[in-house]
Amino acid sequence: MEAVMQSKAFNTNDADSAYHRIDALLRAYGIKNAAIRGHYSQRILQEALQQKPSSEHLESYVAQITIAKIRQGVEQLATHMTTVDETVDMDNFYLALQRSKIPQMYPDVILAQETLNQQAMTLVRKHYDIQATPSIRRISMGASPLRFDSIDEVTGSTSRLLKGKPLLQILVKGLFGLLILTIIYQFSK
Amino acid sequence: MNTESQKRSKQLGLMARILFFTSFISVLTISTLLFYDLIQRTGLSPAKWTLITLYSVLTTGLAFGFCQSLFGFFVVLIKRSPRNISEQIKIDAEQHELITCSVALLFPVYNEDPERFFNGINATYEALSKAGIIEHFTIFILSDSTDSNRWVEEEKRWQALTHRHHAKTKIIYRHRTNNINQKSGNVSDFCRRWGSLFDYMICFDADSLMSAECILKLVQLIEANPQVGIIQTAPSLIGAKTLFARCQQFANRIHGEISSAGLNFWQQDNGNYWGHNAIIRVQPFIEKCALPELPGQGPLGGRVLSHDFVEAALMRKAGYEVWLAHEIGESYEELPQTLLDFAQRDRRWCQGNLQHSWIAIFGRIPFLSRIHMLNGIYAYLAAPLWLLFLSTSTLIAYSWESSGLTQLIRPRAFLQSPETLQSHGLTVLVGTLAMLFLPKVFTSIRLLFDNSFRKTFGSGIRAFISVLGEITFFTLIAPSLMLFHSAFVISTLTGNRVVWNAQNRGLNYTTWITAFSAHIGQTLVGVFWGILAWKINPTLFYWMSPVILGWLASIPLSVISSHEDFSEWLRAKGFLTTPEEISPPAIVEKINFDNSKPTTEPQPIELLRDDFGLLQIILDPYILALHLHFLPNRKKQPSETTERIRKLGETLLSAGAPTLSTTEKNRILNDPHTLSRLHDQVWKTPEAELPPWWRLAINRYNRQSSFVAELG
Repeated sequence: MEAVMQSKAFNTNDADSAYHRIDALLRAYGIKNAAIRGHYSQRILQEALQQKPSSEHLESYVAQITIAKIRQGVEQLATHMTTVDETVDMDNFYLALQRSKIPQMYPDVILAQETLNQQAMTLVRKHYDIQATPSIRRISMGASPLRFDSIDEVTGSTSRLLKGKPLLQILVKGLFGLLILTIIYQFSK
Repeated sequence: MNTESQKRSKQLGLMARILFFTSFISVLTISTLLFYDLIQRTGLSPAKWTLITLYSVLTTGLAFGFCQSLFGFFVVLIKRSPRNISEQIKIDAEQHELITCSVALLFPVYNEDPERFFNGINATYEALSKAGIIEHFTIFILSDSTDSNRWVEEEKRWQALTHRHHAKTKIIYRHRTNNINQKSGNVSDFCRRWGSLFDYMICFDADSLMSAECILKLVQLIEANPQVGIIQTAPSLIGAKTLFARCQQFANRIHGEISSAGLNFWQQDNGNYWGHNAIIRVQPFIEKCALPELPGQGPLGGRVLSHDFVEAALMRKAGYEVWLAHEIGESYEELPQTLLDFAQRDRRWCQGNLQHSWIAIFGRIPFLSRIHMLNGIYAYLAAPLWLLFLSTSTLIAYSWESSGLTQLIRPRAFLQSPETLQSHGLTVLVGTLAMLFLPKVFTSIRLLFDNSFRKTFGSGIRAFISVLGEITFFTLIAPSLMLFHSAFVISTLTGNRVVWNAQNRGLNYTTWITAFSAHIGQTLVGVFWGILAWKINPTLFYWMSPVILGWLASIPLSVISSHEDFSEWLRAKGFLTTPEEISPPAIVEKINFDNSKPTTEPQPIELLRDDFGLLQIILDPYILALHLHFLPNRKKQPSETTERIRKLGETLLSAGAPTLSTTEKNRILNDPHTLSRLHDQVWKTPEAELPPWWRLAINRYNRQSSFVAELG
């Protein structure tokens, strides 16, 4: 580690940023204890620096390692929880882990692939089952379209009614026109 | 109920309807003829004919409301009703083994306060669990929220709620990508997906509340009456904090029972549905209550906005009964706190009600359903008609005064009319005021004689003074609402929108600037009309003074009535208080307690507040997992769509959330692949390469320890 730090390519600011990025990620994934976060942040940084002695793009690199480690730990835990045939919904599994406070209480299980005790595993399973979307059948009922009189239908039906009676048609139109004229005349008096 | 008693009940109901409508037509006819006779005594002209027509139309609503209150008063006084769904069977809240059905409780939500909303759901769930009947109910949270902050918080609160109650399969959350047809579409979506699994559904609003006993009674009633399609409760208002809301709440509570009893008196099995706090039989609702598309374009055409009235009419048309179970209590809803909130809500309702004109006039629906719709239309149309009435009166007074002629009084046309012009005028005035204020008098009489009713309001004297207070308050507010409603009607009919520029962002009261912006037009109308009326004739000014005073005082009234201090003082002194405040039922106490608890949600800084939901989803792996849990897995998506969303994701990453519109953000929020990719990309991008917004987001989120895993 010291050899790397003393190399010309090493930049302490980059290392600082990288360290803080790991810390923030670990915190995001639920590692609450600052001392444990510090311990793992240092380990991951060391690992990154050994693989990549230059501090260029270090922040991005450590983020990749951290996320990969966490996901690997979670996936391994998922395989221990379920039977061979069962497919794990990873979104639900993450939520079950969060609800059962596994990252908080057992960070080594996630980050160092240690084994989780049976009691904790049962708790995870319980929260996983609660989290699962209930399988309620979906049946499309549809709805029969309902006829409603539109303005066209009303006017259409009125025309149909008066169709055989041309005199009545003229009379209705005439009365309507007369009514309008009367109103106009009364108001303009 | 056996066939014989059913037949007797129907006969009694028919007699009640005949009596009601005969009384209504009589009151209307007498008022109109009296008014016509009064006007014709000073000579008729086109303007005076207009006045008579307007008076007749306006009195229709007054007479209808008066008769409703009159018969409601008798029903409440003698404690008997010709037909009442609640009396049909003996309801025993203990007999919950009578329930054999499955009921869905629907909680549609659109950008509401998640804390209050979920407190209501929690209170309902706990009440049903405590009553031992939860196994018959499933809660569906139907979200149409487009605000990412609200959306994310809904998901988080759903998770907390289901875990707290181990409510596997009992509390379902569904978020719609596309909120087509708004609330009615939301409910239709439920019906399509899950409707077949339930016998009944009870719709709640975001601020609705019903006790377990109320829900149980509704279920038992609809189970015992297979011919019933909808049973609506009469919700009481709760949650008033401001003076405006307090007056409303008190008026609803003290006059509500008489009003509901009167409504049930004539509507009986042809009732209405108000969109919430009601139980619906699912099968006929799905089959028969699909909303029609109205002819033409908006605002009057297109999709139906106020779906509830239409659904009730369609249910009746299908042959099912629709009842108002007004005697079932412990059904509640909250109310707008300020005059401007109330007016904004009315703006939406105005358009919805005016749309019903198509159906009321041209739809093949039962006659009484038509009456419901016409009542709803009238409630808004009356405002511009009243304005026209005042304008025409002023014009007539001006024409007369400017003519310089001597008044020649003609003899009365009807012998029953008063002899002198003055007494005739006074009779018309007293008659009109009687129709307006007698319903309040009925309540006062009830306070005097009904001990149990009086005790629920604490002190009878304080309740009576409160009645006088709310009458005064609403008399002053009415002219302001008249102008608002007139503007809404005209803007709806002309296809324009009424917009207020000032917003009370984050404040619980109306500021002077906001009130000025909203009411300055009304104040100017008051000034202009007051001067005009005085110049025409001081007598005219005095006649119009209550209306003019309302307009002049609209700004200070709007501000003062929006504050909580005076309202709280009144409540402490026992004025304008309701039974739910004096002796709160368990469920109201529960919701009040939960709402008073300080929030546990992290409070972001202002720069991040608008997009905190989006930020949480991208940064926090557990909120991301929760959000992805709800998103549908779209296997097939057009490549153009994928590409478009990918580009939006790049913009979000390179420039931050404020650069995207709400629609663009929601598109990202609906794409699981983009979200997962963004989560990785944000965390893997060095801080120096992130835009300022993301740098701030990571730093603040990190510092405030907002990560769910830490909070949980």
